[in-house]
Amino acid sequence: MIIDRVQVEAINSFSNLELLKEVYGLIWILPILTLLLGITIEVLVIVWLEREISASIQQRIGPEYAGPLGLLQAIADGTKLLFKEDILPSRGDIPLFSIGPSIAVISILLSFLVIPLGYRFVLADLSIGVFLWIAISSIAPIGLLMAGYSSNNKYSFLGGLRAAAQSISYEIPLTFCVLAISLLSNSLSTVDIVEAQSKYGFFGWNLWRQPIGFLVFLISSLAECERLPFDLPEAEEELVAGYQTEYSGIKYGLFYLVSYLNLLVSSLFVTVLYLGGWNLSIPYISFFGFFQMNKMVGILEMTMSIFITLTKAYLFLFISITIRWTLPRMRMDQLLNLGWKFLLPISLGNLLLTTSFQLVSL
Amino acid sequence: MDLPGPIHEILVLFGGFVLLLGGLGVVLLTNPTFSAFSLGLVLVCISLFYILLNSYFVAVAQLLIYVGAINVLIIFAVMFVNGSEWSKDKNFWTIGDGFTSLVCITIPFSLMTTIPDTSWYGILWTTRSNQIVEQGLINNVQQIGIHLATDFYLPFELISIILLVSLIGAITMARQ
Repeated sequence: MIIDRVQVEAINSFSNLELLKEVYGLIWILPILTLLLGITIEVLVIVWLEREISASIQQRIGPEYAGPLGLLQAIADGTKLLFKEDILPSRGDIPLFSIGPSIAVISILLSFLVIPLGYRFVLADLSIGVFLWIAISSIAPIGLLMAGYSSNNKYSFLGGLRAAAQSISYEIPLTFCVLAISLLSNSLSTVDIVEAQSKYGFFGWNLWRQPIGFLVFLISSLAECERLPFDLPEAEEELVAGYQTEYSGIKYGLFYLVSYLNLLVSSLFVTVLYLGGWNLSIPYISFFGFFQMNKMVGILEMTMSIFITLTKAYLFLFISITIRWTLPRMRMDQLLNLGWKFLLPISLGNLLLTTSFQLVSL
Repeated sequence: MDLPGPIHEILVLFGGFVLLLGGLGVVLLTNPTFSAFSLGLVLVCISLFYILLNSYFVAVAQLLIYVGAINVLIIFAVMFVNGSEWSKDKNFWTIGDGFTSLVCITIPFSLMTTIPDTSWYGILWTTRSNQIVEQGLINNVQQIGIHLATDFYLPFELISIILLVSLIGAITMARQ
């Protein structure tokens, strides 16, 4: 839990007073709320970017009336979903139908806990960092299965099953790639992983030490997000809209939010694991080493590091959005073959190679 | 997690309460799909306990293996079973049920009596070994790794062989 130094001093002076103990308890919630607000804004930006980029790829104009450059389009969409009627399927399972989307959202939101946005700017620097993300993202299929089962609709059911099968089979290569990274940096904590890449700037990125792992990670994180080359759970031509067929109103909005949150989380993790996180990444220029004394400069530093992280993350987002509007969808058997017969052996080999190199260098 | 006392106790109580409710749900709910989902709830609560006891790695491994893999597979299998067939012809109380309930009631009571009697600090052979190696490593994950590679090396390898055997057995059964 990293708050600004000024704030910490303020809290310490407050906590001397007995009466303000409760205020102290409330202040702990503040970073969480700030992070949630930031995530919401980022999701809105991603939705807008997706509309604009897809429009320019298809030579359309895209959103232009809502706000300048159509910036308010995403907010308009959200408000529309919020005010729509919440239709419940008459023979479905109402409690499970309502719990499903919330489980999916909660499991994605929890994984923001360990993402470092700036230097020492992370909600919880746990020793198990990346492992937490892998474990928590494996809970999300339960929510999707719930949604598919409780809709009482065969397309929803099939979509839910497909989502679960897909995320289980692509979880394994993803985990192997993360394992190789943690072997290289001797830690599972996200902060340590970024620090391990900070030495030689651009050339110290894990991308150069793990090129195979990077490619496998990219492919399997796209599959985990159910983005287009792998969006079989919601393939319109086969299953109406997959597990979200029966949903409407804000519950549908939650599923929509989950897909974009998932994309954001995986792009941030690509940044942290392979692209050097918050570092400026220009070798021999230590930007942050200059000034350590001034508080204003500290705040500037923090803003700069957050800005760098987000820039790298949005670079990855741009790639994945472009892929979505370029490539056709795979078949189900092709998807499973790619997962089990290609990515799994390759990532295992990558892990073995990394382990043997680490052993030799010991 | 180093929380202040009352919050810690509230969390423990809450987790235990939800765990009990979920366990009852697994047994008593007639729809097997609901039972499978409440099993997931029970497993999540257990991992919450591990988090409260400061062992994050075990908690997260619990989440990954039991909730993310095993429970998803159970739900997968159970969802194909038609729910209404199960509760139709149910003879309410047979001798087998009585015997099972007797066994199940005696087990928790015997556990409750033995747990306070055992001196847990007497079992030191896991904590004392390799103190020299561990001095620099406070990290939970690293300690688990050291123990797996030194003290528990043989059981670890044996378990992996058992898993391999069961994997091969499953494949041969699926091929027939």
